[in-house]
Amino acid sequence: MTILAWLMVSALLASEPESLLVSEPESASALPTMVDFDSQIVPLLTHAGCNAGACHGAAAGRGGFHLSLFGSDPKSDYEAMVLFAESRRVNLVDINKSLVLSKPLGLLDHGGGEVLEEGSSSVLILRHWLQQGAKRGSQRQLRELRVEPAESIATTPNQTKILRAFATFSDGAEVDVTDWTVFRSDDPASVEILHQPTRAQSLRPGKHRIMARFWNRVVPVSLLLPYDSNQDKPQLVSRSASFVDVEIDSQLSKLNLTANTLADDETFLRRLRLDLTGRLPSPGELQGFLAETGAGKHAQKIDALLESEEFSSFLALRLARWFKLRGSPEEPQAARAYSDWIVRSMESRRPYNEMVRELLTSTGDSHFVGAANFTRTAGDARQHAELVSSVLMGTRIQCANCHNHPFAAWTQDDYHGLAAIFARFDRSRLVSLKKQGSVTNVRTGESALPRIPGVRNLEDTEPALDTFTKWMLDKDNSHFSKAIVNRLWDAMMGRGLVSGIDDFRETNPPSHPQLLHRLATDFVEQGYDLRHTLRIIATSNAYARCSNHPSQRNELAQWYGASTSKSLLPEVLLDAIDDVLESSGKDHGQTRERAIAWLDPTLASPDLDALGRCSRSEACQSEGQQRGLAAKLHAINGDLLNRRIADKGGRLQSSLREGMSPRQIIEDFYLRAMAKHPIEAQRSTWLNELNALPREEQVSWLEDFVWALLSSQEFSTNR
Amino acid sequence: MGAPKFARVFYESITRSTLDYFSGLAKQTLRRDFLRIGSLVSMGLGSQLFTARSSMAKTSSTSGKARSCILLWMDGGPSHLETFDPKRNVPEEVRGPFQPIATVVPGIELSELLPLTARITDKLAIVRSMTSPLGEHGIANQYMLSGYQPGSPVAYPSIGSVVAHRRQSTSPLPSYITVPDARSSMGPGFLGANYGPFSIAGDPAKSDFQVKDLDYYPGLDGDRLNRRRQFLQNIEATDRALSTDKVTLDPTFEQAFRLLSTPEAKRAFHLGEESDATRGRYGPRTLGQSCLLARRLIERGVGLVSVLQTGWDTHQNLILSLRDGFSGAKVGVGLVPTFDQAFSALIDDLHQRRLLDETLVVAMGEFGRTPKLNTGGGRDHWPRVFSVVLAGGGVRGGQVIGASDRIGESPSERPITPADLANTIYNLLGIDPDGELVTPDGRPIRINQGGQFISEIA
Repeated sequence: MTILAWLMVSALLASEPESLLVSEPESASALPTMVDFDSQIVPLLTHAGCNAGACHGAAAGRGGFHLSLFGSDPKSDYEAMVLFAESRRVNLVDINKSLVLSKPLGLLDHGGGEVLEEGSSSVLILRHWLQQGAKRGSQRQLRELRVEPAESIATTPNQTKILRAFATFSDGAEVDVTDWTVFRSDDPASVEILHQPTRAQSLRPGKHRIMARFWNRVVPVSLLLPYDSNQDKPQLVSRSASFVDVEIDSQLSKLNLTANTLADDETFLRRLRLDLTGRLPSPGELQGFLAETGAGKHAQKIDALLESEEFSSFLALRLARWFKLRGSPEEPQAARAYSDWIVRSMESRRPYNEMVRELLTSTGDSHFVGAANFTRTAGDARQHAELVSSVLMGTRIQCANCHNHPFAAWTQDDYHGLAAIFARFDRSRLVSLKKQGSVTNVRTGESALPRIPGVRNLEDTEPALDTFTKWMLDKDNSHFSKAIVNRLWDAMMGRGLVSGIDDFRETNPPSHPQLLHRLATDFVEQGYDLRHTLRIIATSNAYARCSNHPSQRNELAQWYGASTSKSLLPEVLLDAIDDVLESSGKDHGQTRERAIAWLDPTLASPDLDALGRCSRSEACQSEGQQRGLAAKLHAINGDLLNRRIADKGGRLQSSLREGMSPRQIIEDFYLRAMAKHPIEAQRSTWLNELNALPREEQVSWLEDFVWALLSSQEFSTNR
Repeated sequence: MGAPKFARVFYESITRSTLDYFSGLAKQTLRRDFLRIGSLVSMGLGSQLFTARSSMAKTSSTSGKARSCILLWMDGGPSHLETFDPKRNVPEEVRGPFQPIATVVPGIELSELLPLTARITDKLAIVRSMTSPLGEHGIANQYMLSGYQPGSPVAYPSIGSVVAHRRQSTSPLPSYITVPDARSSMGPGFLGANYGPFSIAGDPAKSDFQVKDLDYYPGLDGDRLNRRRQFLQNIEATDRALSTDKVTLDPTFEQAFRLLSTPEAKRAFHLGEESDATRGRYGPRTLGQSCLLARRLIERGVGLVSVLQTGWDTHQNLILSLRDGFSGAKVGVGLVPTFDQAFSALIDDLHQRRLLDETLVVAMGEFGRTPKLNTGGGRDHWPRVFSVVLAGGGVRGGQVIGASDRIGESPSERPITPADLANTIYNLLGIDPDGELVTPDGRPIRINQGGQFISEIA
């Protein structure tokens, strides 16, 4: 049915999708229309999997037959099917002898097996096309793919939602392409796809994702099934009514989830301090904060921290990580200049767009011009393109080096075109722009034309780098603003709105699209001020909630109804250990420099390595306390804690010398490490044990106590 | 500091907030748990007897008889044409610089760079029709080492982590060890750090080799370790005082304490206990001594040991990289001769010790290399067809499974995917590939998806 409708409609170029529903069986004999190669045959190949990367879509083809990946290049596909192989693939005299039929039908030996079934609509269309002389046809392009409904809410687990896909072509026609669209559940345990008619059934509560692929386009579809409402609904205290909370709360309510209450002030201060300054609150600071009574004290604290030097210093470390700053042993000055530039930019409150303008365009002696080292982070123009797209647009473009990106809109022309923009850079110590420089587009085998990815080719007369920089920093370029606000959100909330801070793509949509949009717009309107966006996040209710209790659903944190525990960065953890122990036994430098001031991860530090520091030379998803047994063995027997605890100049040994009572020592260390006092039951447990010991054994007892405190989960996480 | 008043403020505010947080019912639980903290029983650490291989419990109903697995990971993608799938009667640009040689099994030929392996081919099952669509190191690694194609939002665990998860070992040694190092795709994925590999992070070929942090820090002893463990448990217990779950220590910490208090287990790492003759057989280089260490580890009940050999990404000059190792070498010490000596010694040694039947050995990398030499005399990435080798653990030796076409470009029969291979490894290890794992957010994930057991292998 739909096939006939499609054949008809595509020829009539009808723009009303409803007209698809009028297909009548008797029109079958008529079939007045020509089958269109680009918009009908190619999508059919995608639907049957012929042009997938594992089959003929592989870069080198398969069995001597090469199709473009997911039909991104219909011209070459037409040539491959109709013109090459001495035209054996189509036989217009006896169409059944065409390889394009006999192979997929399994009549001839086919490595891919029987992928088409006799009598199916795909085979019908192929036959028509062959009968009509295997013409190329309209050469129209796919403008838009849309699935209805793009987002839907089921009310019961068994309920199914009918899905329909519509394609809009370059000639204006809009066509129901449901039958030629592959719907794939991201997680088959959560959503099942059923056929005839195509529909989705959610098997468990949550917001689930389905990918719809037609021709060379993929769009996400979401299906939501609310959770059961058997939870208590506590009275919610609110400190904020910002757009952040409006968006978060509305999503929670759609999912029928109840948010946790706000965390107590001790928890809040420790969380905020660690997130904004990478540092634990001191006992005095904590006492002051608790003593304050004004309703605005949380916001005031946030403001005060955002103005602090410690904040600048810690945000500089975050930026260095995001920019993938990485020194080389031969040129320590370069990394130092780069680090200094980042720190100065933070201290002087440079707007982020201005910083990035310098990163993209700086030339000069990289031992003095800090920002010029961004260019040197990449080894060549292609790596430069990957760095720029990952850091500034949150996108992994590298797949498009060899073939059009299968899960995103990037094409090979985009990739090599972006690389061409950076081709003139001389990446030696003296960074400069050479007169000439090009990269080869591996698709064409020729010099790639400089191109703003996804937008347009640049003219010869345009200064490529300047034009690109202008486009990147244009206030309407939401790739740029979304990427950075998502990084800030990720840093504060433990998970990006787009999960994976460099993994923006159509098939990985944000959990809260509207919130991401509003954060990005607000960021641009406020002059690209990182502090501003951090303030917006930190003052929200969502940021201030209690963290998830083990008995609660993980989903609650996933939707920001509970705070997510974050492992401390290795640098932060090391500083925290040093702050609590006040030890002088640092392994980096003579000065008592803080570990977070070490923006360059290649600076030697066995302690940071032991804590799992990321070298930034490859993706470090699992940085922090992910080192398993080796890290635990080191905690027990290694230098990291033992040396510092035993340090004669450290806090424990001096407290003992100064005659502090064991009770005071326990209290003091607890307060410093956890930003709270031990609860009474625990305090008495400790004291009873301690009091039973002879005096001479109390020192080693206290050492073991401090060791346990600093080895605990609670200490090494921010929650 | 003005302790008492200050403390009360803290206590009250904590109590208040925690009680807000849960309903009044929690109050009782709270009190009960606080009492429990006071009476935590010290668990005797030293009392846990070291129990060797026999303690490995089978946890599934499949017929596999392998108790352990040694996975030789040839990192970078070894050329199938210069190892286990050499070609005759093909142009030189396909054949490459080396010739095929006969093996002890009539009809099976290997590259001339594998003369020692040719003597033990009767113990090997050579799969020559591995195929995968992924030709980039990172994702290809993940596919081969987990059996799952990356790309979904789920971070799949590597095979070693699944083995560690499925084998409820009582050995104080970790269930999953990498020698000398791990690749990032050898991680635990959603199973979490507790099932990640333990990297010995040292070179077993060095004379001063020892595993870091296994000896007590000066001033520490077994009693203090015991006390530290108890303190830690106290603190974690308070942290989770509101939980109704039974309070246990982080299992990785538990494992660390257990390992440190079991001298017999730590001896596994003492390669000096091996005779010079044995050490010599494996060859003096890192790979050989790593294989020897792997044998000592599986003897003591480790579930899976992954041995890493780097450098197989041979885009340039195969003669140098694969055979010679350095220019002007009189005796080749390149990748293949190094592999040949270590691998054949391992199989021989396991056989002589009657361990081969219960130890599955797998040698593989992430993909093969292009059928035609490139202009640099090397070969580039080629996932469409490549070889892996299995031995022991119930594998029937002396056979070739599947085949590549005339020039080693595509599988010509019996294509086998990384998912099939993972399924087969699980089966041979007695782990049910259809068993379910659960992600932290409660999603059930099958251990293996879409793979078929290579039935002719056993």
